[in-house]
Amino acid sequence: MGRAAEFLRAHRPTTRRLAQLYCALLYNAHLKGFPEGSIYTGAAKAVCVPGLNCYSCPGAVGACPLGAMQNALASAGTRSGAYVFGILMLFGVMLGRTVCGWLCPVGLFQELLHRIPTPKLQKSRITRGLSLVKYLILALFAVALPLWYALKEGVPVPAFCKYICPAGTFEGAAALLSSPRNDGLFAMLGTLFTRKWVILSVIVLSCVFCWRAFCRFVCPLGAIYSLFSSLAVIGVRVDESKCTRCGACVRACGMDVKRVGDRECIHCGECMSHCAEGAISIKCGRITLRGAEGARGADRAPEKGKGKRAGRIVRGILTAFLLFAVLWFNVLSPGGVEEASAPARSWESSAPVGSDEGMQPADFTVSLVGGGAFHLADARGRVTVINLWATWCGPCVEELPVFSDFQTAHPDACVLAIHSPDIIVEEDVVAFTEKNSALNVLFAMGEGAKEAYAAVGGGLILPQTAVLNARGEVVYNQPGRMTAKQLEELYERAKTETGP
Amino acid sequence: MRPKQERIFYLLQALLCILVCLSLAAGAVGIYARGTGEGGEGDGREEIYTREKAAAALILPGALAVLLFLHSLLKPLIAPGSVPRVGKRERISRPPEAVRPFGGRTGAVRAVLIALGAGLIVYGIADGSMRDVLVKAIHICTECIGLG
Repeated sequence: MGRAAEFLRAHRPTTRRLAQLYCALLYNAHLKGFPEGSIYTGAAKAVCVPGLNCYSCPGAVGACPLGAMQNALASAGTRSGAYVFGILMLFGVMLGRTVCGWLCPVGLFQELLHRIPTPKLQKSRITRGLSLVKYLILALFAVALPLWYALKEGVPVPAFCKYICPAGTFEGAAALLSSPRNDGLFAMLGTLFTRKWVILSVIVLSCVFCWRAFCRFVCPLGAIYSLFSSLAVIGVRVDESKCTRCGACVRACGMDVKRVGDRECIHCGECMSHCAEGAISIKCGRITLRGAEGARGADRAPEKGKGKRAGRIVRGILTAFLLFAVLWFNVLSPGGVEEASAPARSWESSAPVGSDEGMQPADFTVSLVGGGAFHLADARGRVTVINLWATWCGPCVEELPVFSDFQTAHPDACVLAIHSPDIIVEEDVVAFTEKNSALNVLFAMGEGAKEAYAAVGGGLILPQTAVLNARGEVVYNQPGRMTAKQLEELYERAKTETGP
Repeated sequence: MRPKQERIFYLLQALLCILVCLSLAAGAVGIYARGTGEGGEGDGREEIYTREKAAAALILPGALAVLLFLHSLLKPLIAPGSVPRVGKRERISRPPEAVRPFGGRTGAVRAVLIALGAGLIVYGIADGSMRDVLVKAIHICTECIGLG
């Protein structure tokens, strides 16, 4: 027992490791999302967490600041995005890259990977030079591309999330695909997924051999926070009166720092134990949060009674908060956006009511943009294509011309695009339809949209397309993009088949 | 660069920022003027939409320009000689003296940025950009997870 206790004491996690684990659990407190294969849709998701955490992760209870920033830029021209920039500014000024060292789950993951015993790549001038690549990625993928696509093409493209981010591939895709409830998502796998999976694999391997490779060379969020390195309230500070400029701290640091506290410093505080003079500490303004360790002489002040008690109180509050968060997001939370129950059908049919293939969606009436209404029952006798979309969904916007061309080629069919009813901003949809008035598609939104979504089983994944045959039976109903060829095949099938 | 040259450089930078702000404001006013000029009769929606669009077009780049402007204004306040230069014979691994980039005015700069950040958040909540974050976050981003 004594040896076990000694072993545990020698290998207990550090405060920083506990903080990282705490944040990883807090950011992903919606634990029931993992077995259910669904994401949290509550109001808490309007709040950005400080670290990198994909909001498509089944456990995520907050928004990713980097994803939110790209989406804010993607809506340039219609909205200011001030909220996200304000949040980034506050995080930057208050915490700076302390977020990277203490509060980011991706950082934790990288450090754990690095513990795998292999030869390790040492830092050098080359790695210091490579650390500038993340600023390039920030400028190009996180800022320029979303802005360009938004202003020139009118399509929202969160380029870093779409092409590079490993958090989305791992936390989002892997977690969602592992649930049997999301088997339909496998139909959406393609080149993009393969590319992202390769990038994830490369990053994971790199982190094994190179300490925090993603943080040092790729992460745009770290690049943003590094801009505030000289201003951050909380961080590692050097006492100039004690510092002998021996360089031990810089040599011991795994990041590509030139001095403690520069733009590459993640304020992990690991250098504190290497400073013989005890010149390094973690401060919040002028308050010392963590004093110097390993100092020569008697500079290592024992923790006083008041400080110890304050520490216990803080730990107790944080633990209680985490437990409450887990309880709230898994049990008590009223949930998110309301899901309307499908109304009863208004016409007789032999197929059961439902949204799966072979079933008949319940009748609905939905308002059209520009006036009028669409009644599903009136579309009987025609092949009906129902597309669920949103203005903020890049793939949705990109595929609308396919439906327009289809409608033009087949005037006997009926193509209806229903905008997502979740917290809709009608002016945005009206503006979009006016700007794209050449699209030969019926656009619907507002009244009746919730019932329409419920009728075709519309959920959290957009775009989604349902094809109904002339009797109103579902021939196809899947999330994911449609190609012209797929639409043609489904049209032919709907005209001839009665459904499975 | 000598301190006097530094001041001139940063003042020029500040002037450029002012010019950028003015041209952005002119652009936004131009959008609004064009929009009201092309507005349809009997439908007040065009005017609201165009005004909002013009305001939104101004806010984001305007905020960035203001930040740049503040940065340029604060730089000349650095006391001469407070930024040490590492000598040629000193090894790179030796950390230079601690840099105080704002010459002791760090607290004031922090306060300004915190106030600005808080102000942007409040404006963003009123403007609807917080709602945009929520709308995007409560849907599965198929692009982000490599499926779209």
